[in-house]
Amino acid sequence: MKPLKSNEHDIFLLDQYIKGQLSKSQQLDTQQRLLSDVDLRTDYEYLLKVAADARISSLYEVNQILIDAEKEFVNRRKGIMSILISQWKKYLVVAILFSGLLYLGIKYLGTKKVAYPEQYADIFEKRFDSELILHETYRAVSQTDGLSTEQRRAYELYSIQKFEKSAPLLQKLWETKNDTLALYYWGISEIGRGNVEKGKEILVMEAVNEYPKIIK
Amino acid sequence: MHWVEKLKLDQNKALNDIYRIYRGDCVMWLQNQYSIREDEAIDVFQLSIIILYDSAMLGKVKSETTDVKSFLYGVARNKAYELLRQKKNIVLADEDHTLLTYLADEMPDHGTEDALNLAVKALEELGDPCKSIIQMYYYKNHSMEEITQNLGYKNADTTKNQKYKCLKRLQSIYFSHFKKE
Repeated sequence: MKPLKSNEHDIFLLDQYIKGQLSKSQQLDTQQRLLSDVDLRTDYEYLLKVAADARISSLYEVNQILIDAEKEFVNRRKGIMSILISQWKKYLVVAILFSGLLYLGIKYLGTKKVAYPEQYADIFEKRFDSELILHETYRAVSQTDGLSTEQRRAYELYSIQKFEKSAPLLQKLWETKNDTLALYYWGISEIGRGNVEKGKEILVMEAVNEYPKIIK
Repeated sequence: MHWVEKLKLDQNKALNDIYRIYRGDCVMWLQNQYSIREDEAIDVFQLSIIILYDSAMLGKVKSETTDVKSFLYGVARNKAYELLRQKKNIVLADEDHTLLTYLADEMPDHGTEDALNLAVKALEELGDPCKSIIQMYYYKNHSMEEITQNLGYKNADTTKNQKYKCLKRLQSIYFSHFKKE
């Protein structure tokens, strides 16, 4: 390989020729010179080699970057796996504790607390809907149930056995509107929330004679 | 900033980002779609990134018109087909020759293993900033002004003069290698 003979100016000219940055006439001139000037042609071939090697070495560097990136990718994956494997016992304990808590939660929180005495369980759990709900409500706009807003609210709370909330509303309905069904429901609500004696007192009142004597 | 510019300005970060984003899905896709082994799929994926990079540097693709994912998957599909054709005919060597194969196809006069080794060794020996100037100017198609700005030279003439000196130094490195051989 001969030493670079061309000056800086000619090298730059050859660079532009290789990159296709010369005008048509400059290109033709350069081609003529390359045919006649052996040193310029040698330097031109050298620059082509440099360009090729610049590409090769750059791509080699890219290849190295990708090999390192793959190592990093594998290490990261291994890291995640090893964390999961090394901590499996911890995760198992947490899972058992969580399941236990879930079981206890369902067992105790999921169970409905009842206030009425055991002897009324059958009435409140099995017969309530069919025998102790005596009013009718309609959801369709075209039908009316003849109930006031207060009555509907108190009766609905009673229907779903929310006795703590229904009792005061029903009492108020009896006291202000003389609503005998409200009185009857109030008596049942008092028993339902554990005030058995008070409930019985209400259910023996004359005003509720027309309603079923299911609770004695 | 578009991905081609990112590759030109900070190739290390840009390549790592592309690798991290597409490695998992693309390799799995290649394995499922073409029933190739994981190591083969990784080779195909890496070669696809090399081709993406090479095409960007040579101005064959533009950020505005080419989506990285579409390009990568398109190249990977073709390379996977090539691999399957090769597997039918010959038993592949265990060594990874993907870059060499690509260079041999692209640059028949320079893509031999010896030429690759000499190019890499010579430019490594040349070192920076010369190596960067040569790569930027002759491969990455940077202008003198861009190189001046990137490498912090005073002006484009200084850079041009520095490049000329680098060419001379590189020539003497080649010369010493030839003499050794």
